[in-house]
Amino acid sequence: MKKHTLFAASLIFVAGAAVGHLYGNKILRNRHCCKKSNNCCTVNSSKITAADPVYIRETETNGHGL
Amino acid sequence: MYYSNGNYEAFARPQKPANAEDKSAYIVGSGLAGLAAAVFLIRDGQVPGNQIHIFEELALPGGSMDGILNEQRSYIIRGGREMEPHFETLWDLFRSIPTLDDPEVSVLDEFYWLNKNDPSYSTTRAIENRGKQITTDGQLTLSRKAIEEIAKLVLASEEQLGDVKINEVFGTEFFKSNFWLYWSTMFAFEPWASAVEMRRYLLRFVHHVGTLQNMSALKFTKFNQYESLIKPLIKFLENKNVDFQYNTTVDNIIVEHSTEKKIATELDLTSSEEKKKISLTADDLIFVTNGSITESTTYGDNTHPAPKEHEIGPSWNLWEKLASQDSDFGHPAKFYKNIPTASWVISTTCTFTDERVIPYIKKITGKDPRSGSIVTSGPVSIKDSNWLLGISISRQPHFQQQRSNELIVWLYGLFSDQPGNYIQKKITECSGKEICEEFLYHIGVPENQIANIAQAANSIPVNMPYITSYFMPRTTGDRPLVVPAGSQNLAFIGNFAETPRDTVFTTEYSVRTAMEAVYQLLDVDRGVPEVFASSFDLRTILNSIYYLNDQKSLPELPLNKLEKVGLDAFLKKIQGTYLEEIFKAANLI
Ligand SMILES: Cc1cc2nc3c(=O)[nH]c(=O)nc-3n(C[C@H](O)[C@H](O)[C@H](O)COP(=O)(O)OP(=O)(O)OC[C@H]3O[C@@H](n4cnc5c(N)ncnc54)[C@H](O)[C@@H]3O)c2cc1C
Repeated sequence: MKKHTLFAASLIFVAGAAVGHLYGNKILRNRHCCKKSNNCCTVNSSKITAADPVYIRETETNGHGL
Repeated sequence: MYYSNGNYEAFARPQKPANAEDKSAYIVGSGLAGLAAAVFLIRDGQVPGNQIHIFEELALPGGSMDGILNEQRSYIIRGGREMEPHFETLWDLFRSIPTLDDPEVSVLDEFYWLNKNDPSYSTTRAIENRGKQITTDGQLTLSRKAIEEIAKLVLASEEQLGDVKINEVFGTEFFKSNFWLYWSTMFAFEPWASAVEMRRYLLRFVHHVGTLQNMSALKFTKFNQYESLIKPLIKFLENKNVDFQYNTTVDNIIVEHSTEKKIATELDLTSSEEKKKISLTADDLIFVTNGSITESTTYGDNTHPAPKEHEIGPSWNLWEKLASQDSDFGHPAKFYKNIPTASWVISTTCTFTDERVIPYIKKITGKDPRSGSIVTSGPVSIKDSNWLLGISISRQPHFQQQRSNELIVWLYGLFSDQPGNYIQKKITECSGKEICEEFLYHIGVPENQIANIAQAANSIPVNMPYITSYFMPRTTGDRPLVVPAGSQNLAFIGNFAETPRDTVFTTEYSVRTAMEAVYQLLDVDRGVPEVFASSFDLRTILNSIYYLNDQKSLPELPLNKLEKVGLDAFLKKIQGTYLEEIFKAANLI
């Protein structure tokens, strides 16, 4: 490989690796078990209840109060 | 105007722009943005100081950057400023401003030395159950889903996020994380705030992800920001014969339009109830601070709440009048109308003169507030407070005149629609004493001592009806560009003017827009320091991945089988390469 092609290739590789971790997981999850089974990958396991502090409960309002 | 970075441009002095001595400047507002514009006109544009006029509706300068010993009330700060080393234009400004005490020492020098000798570090970021540190303090506790949501937000474009709110892009797991608790309370984000702005913050401050839990990246001024930053600026400008006109409201600016050109031709003002008009030519440069988050502030005292009633102030009225003349001048109503009730309005300055509160503060912060060092390094947040109360205690004394037995504590509540946990009232309905009592309750003072200690203290609540306006959901075009297309002599400055990438609710944003405005209207030929480029630095991004995952390396992440195989293959591939070096340096392998 020519020197400049090598450099460009490694740059792409570096950038890909940085976001790859975050996005690779997501893509893999869609391709694989998550579509078939609920517990395979992370799902939103948490619910907001009246016992949660106000600042968490307020995330479910449109800003005009609980 | 162009952006630059690096020392070549940072240390260079621009040549005198053509006809600089023929220019006059009319600046609306003596907040940080207006003062910075005046300094850049003089320092970089070589406009004579006596040709610069600053109009201010109030009787004193500084705008939001206050700090005052009010004779009738007590010490008052509406806020304290967290600052960081990469406020590039701000430090570019203050390198040139001498301190009040020593003309050989710049404000930047003073700040730099002070923060070297007394660095910020917080051992307790959040408490609950009346003074107990939350058990997971120091961890960001982000689930994988929450991290994915962060990544998704960052990768969206601003256009895609127009008018979108934070709680429309994140789910419950994210909001339950310590990351959200730390992030929202440090920067005053409400769940309904602008997702565009949240995205900008994530990118702009990505280099701080690793220090969110201890706030060691933050830096603070010696005294309150009025004394440490505004007063030296005023002295500098007065020495250059800049003309300050207080108690003067700019009511309107008439802008004439010809094909592709806009030119401000008349300034209408009211000074001490007298109406005046100033005719303008293309050599008269106008800088407007449009909107203000502290305008219409009301003040209470120890026994009275800060009144809720207020009028729409001149900053919004002027912006409305400008916007009605040209669609390029933005949509002010987006920022000052329909502000949600579940938001921050009140902050309170408590002055304690007795010793009884000290042990509780020491217990929480691990620091002696009488030591003269930084105490809370930013806020300590009270997780189970219905008001989401935050506590901030700066270096004491926080005022030059402050006596050695006085301790100043600053409080703010991010939710104003709920009764407190101890005081069964909304924070907006509370006197200073009642807000102080709620604070004492949350830090663990026994209930039978609370009323007595609060009575002996002097607490001044302030009601800032527009304090969250910077964060209102917005879309492209709601804020005017610093210099709107075709404008010959009119610029917008401050946090309601649009400049790319930078984040509002910062001192830096005010100074940046001022610099960009001056450099464009005067054609100053030197680069404006770009917004710190950490989001383009791979090392920083990798490091943030490490911290977002609570300091786990890639192999330690909870990956499924397939992902593990992929990761192993990747790690094998980069063995012995530069990539392995930087992944290792970021602790990812
Ligand atoms: C409580 C609080 C906490 C903050 N925390 C931080 C922080 O941690 N870190 C940080 O970097 N920044 C922080 N900030 C933000 C920072 O202080 C502000 O962004 C900055 O000071 C705004 O300056 P400005 O000149 O742009 O606007 P302002 O300070 O609002 O000044 C505008 C001035 O113009 C005047 N004016 C407006 N219109 C007219 C008119 N038509 N005629 C005459 N006069 C007019 C107003 O009276 C005012 O004096 C905080 C601000 C507050 C209030």
